[in-house]
Amino acid sequence: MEAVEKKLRIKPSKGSWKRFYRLLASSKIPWLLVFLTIALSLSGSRIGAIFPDFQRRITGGDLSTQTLLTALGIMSVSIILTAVNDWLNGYTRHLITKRLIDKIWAKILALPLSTYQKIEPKELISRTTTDTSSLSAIFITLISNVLTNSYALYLSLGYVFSYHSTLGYVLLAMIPLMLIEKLIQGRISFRFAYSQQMRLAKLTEYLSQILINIPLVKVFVKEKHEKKRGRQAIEEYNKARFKVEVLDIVFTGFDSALMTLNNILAVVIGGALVAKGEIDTGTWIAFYMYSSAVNSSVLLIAQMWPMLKQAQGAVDRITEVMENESEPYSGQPIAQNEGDLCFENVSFSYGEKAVLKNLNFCIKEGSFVAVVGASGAGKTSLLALIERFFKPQSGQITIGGQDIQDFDLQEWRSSFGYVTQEINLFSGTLRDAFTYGMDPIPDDKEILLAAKAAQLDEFIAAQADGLDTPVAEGGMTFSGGERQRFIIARVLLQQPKRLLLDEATSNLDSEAEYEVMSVLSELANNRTTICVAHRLSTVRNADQIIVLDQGEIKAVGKHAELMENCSLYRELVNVELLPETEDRNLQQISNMQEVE
Amino acid sequence: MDKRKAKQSSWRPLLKLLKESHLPWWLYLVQLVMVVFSSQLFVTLTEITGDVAQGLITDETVVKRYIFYSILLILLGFAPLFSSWVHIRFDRLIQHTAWRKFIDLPLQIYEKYRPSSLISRVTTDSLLVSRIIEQCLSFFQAGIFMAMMIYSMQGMNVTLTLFIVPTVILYVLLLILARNVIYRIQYDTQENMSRFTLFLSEKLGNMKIVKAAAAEAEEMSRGMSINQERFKIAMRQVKYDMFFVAFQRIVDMILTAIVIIGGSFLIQKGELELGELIVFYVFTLEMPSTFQMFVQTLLEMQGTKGATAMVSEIAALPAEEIEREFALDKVSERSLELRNLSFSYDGENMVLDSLNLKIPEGKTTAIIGASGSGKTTILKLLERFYEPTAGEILIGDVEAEKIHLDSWRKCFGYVIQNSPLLSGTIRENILYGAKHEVSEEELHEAAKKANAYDFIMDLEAGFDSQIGESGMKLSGGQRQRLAIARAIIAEPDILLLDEATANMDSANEFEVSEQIKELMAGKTMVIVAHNLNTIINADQIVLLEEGKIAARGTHLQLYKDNLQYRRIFDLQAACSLNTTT
Repeated sequence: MEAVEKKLRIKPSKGSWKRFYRLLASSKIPWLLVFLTIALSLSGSRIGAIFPDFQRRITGGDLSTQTLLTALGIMSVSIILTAVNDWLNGYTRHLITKRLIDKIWAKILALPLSTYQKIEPKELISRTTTDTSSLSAIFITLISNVLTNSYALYLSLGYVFSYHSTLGYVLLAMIPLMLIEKLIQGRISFRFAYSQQMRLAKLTEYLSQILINIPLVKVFVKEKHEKKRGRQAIEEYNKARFKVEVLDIVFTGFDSALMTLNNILAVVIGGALVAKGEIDTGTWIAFYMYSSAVNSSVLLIAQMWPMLKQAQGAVDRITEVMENESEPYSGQPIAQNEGDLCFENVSFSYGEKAVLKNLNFCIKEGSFVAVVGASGAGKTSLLALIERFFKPQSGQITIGGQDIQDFDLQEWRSSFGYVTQEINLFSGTLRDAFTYGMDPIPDDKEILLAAKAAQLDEFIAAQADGLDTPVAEGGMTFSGGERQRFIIARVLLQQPKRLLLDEATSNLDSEAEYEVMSVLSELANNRTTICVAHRLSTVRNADQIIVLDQGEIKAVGKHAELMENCSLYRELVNVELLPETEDRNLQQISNMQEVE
Repeated sequence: MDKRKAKQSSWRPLLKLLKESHLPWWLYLVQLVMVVFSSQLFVTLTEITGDVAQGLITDETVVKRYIFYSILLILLGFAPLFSSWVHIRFDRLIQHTAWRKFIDLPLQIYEKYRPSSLISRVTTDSLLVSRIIEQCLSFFQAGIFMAMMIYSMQGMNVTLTLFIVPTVILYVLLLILARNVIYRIQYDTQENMSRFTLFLSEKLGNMKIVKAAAAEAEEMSRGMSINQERFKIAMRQVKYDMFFVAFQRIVDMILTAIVIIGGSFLIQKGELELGELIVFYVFTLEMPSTFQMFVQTLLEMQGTKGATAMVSEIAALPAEEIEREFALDKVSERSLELRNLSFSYDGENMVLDSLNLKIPEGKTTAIIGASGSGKTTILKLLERFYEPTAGEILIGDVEAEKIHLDSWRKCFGYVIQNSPLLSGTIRENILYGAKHEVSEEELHEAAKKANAYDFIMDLEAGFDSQIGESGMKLSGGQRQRLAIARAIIAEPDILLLDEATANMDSANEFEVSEQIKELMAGKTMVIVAHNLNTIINADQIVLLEEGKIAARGTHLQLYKDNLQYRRIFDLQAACSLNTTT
């Protein structure tokens, strides 16, 4: 909550404007359109201001056709100009928004995963959708409005002063009063409304929480207790609502009070001047019209202030995203013969937490290495470092002697088959899901071949549109086993040079899992494979096992030698890994007896 | 005929709700009076404005009246404070009624509601009632105001009135018709926006996959094409707004022309005074918005009334019957029996079918079976969340339904998988069901027994740590252990566990199970479990299949005699011990 409050503090950060200019400069702002919009709306103002003055002739008695037609002509031109301007305004604004969104999206895709420690995905979404339109609003709506209305103000005052200086002064006096009132209102109501909204949100949260957990309430027989607490929450909820409404009403009341005062002055002073014969009624009507115009202009200008504040916030948030370093995409193409993958004094921390400490080991080309350890030992981070999702804080990872950071990032990642539980059923068709990210894109024949090898061909055949079946939302769902086979099919399609496996630990359909794992181990033949292991069968067959404990390597070796020599390993095998089927029952009973 | 009946019936529950909430109706009458008064005030004020502007300023009484009425108008500007106070009172009362009703709901009905729907019934739907009344008042206000203005206008000049009023009416009606187009575009904009947001959150939640597959370029073009659509839809809105606003301006122009030009002609002819022209002008400025309010509130009221169907539903909700014949302390035994117990949620599918089971006092009974076989339902029936469809539950010799619900539930402990914790401190949560004052010692004991003491003390604020606040993320296993500590503090006579340790890693699971066994030594326990390892030592294992008991016995008996049991056991053995990575 403090973070949000900080966001809404109305003081802009020092560098705000500089960043704003930089952002503008780097985005493709359609400057021509912007100037056109402003020019058009200024013209509209000019023409619109003529009518009240012109109207004096008519009320003064000039009802000639020429006069009347001119009057209608003026109004019509004004309407057309305004319409065109509105359209242009909207077009420019949306165009700017669109370009900003494209820019931010490109940046987001290039951000390293470590950025998500700083900025939550939810945040990124609102910056992409909301903040961009706030920003484009500055340009058009804000600048255009301020310029246009200031100009209209100037024109109105000009006309009124030309009628009678007293009237002019009356109008002039109103303006600062209205502006100040609006500004104060803006500051107070913003802060206040925000804090009340927060209270409302908290109270709603409380009510929601209990409502969702009524069974819990009944289990502990706390109905009376919660009814009372709920009543209090509802009281406070409505008190907060009332406060917000009161503030609103008070300010609206002040607004109309000011307007009425305005009117009193206009009517009384104007009427006096009419009685004295210094102006005629037609002029009074014109004065009345101009003072309404002044009123609305001041209102519109005053409304721009909170908009400006909002926009400043948007600028800060957008530039915060844009200023992050992208991932280092470019690099050398991957060499043909790679060599061994080695970790040299690698240490890695995620945020404050030290995850891996001074790792030193090598994985021979083509070998199968299993990594084991208790939860939190750092196994998944190891894979993540190899995938170059993160950079180690110290040390380096090399392949064939060369630092892996040197290579082209996307080529590097494509050279790995990264197999985890997560699959990419985003959108598009089944075909798209299979070929996601692959370059060049495999043709249907290859896809079906891979699917067959993974025993997914029946599944595909069962879909209404085969490979064209849409995948997203309601398109289709995979069962646990199909999910695994899909992952395999993709690996088969991809034929990557190396495999990174994060074994599944779900206790669904163990038969399917078993199948899947055996296909994967076939794939692992002759491929450099690093596998976070959860199965006894996996580690038994590994060329090398790395035992991790709290980020450090405790032991490296084959299964048999580790069982003999490493107590930590033995414990891990008994507690963490899936045992094999043989004589499981006897093992169980003997375990129980041991404990008893 | 049916539709009419439905409409009539929709009024009765709403009225019932209103009655139960004890609303102060007379306040709205006061508001109505204020509304009439302020309309009249505005009209009178405008008439005087005309006079003054024309030059009647020399007449002191006129000026005084003008200023006086203006000040009144300013004061009336703050009258909405009163109406706000009134409607908030209403809202509070109705929300409270809704709240009470939902807490007392029998669970079978409660479960039919989606959580988000429940919340909105209390927070937003309840506000609909005062909204309708407000709309009614606005409707009256607009109507009265309109009528007063027209009356005043025709008193000055009938011809001009006959030109202005129909134009205004026609204009507003056209505006209303145009609403459908607005809605369509708004809908499309919304829909695109949610698609875009969904796209973004999907990708952001799965960046790892995108990067691992090196698919950044693909996702870039996908994003750009959705963005382009967004632009197109936005432009449609711009185009529509342009025409719409131009239309409004044109009509304004026409009305201004009628008043100024037509009025000037009439002045020439001597049928109208200048001051009256001013009055016409001011009224003509007010009329379109007033009439629009009139028609719109009428239309909106229809919509709101439809929405109140949900609100009235609340009033019709039944309450759980807590009071029965006597309290549970009249019964000394703690053995349970299910006799010919049948249960169905929807009246068609039998989840439990004529079950006969004895749960002996002081022993552990385990219930296993495939998901959907009815295991959890048995526990829920024991907790008396539902009434059996047929058959009964007995405690000792006494039928459960004779016992007060609250005293029944107080004697049971019920822990489910993924037990919810409420926001508040750890202490508050654990002590939620405490039956009497609990000392710090007892609290720590309970935490230790649930294997939660260590991780609680590792936290900065220990037992006073807030649950749910950012930064305090407890793992599933840790939350579960807190839930168990909570159950321990409540000192139940009979404990019901529904996969209560399924989310813990195997070490914790084992230790906690041991502690529970110790705690409940000599007390009745019913455990539903998936993981057969946890219930191997139960006194009685019941295998449930499609609502019927397929087998019963101890582990060794079942493993020897029951093929299915053996199969399940062996299959599980080939599966993981639960590891959490």
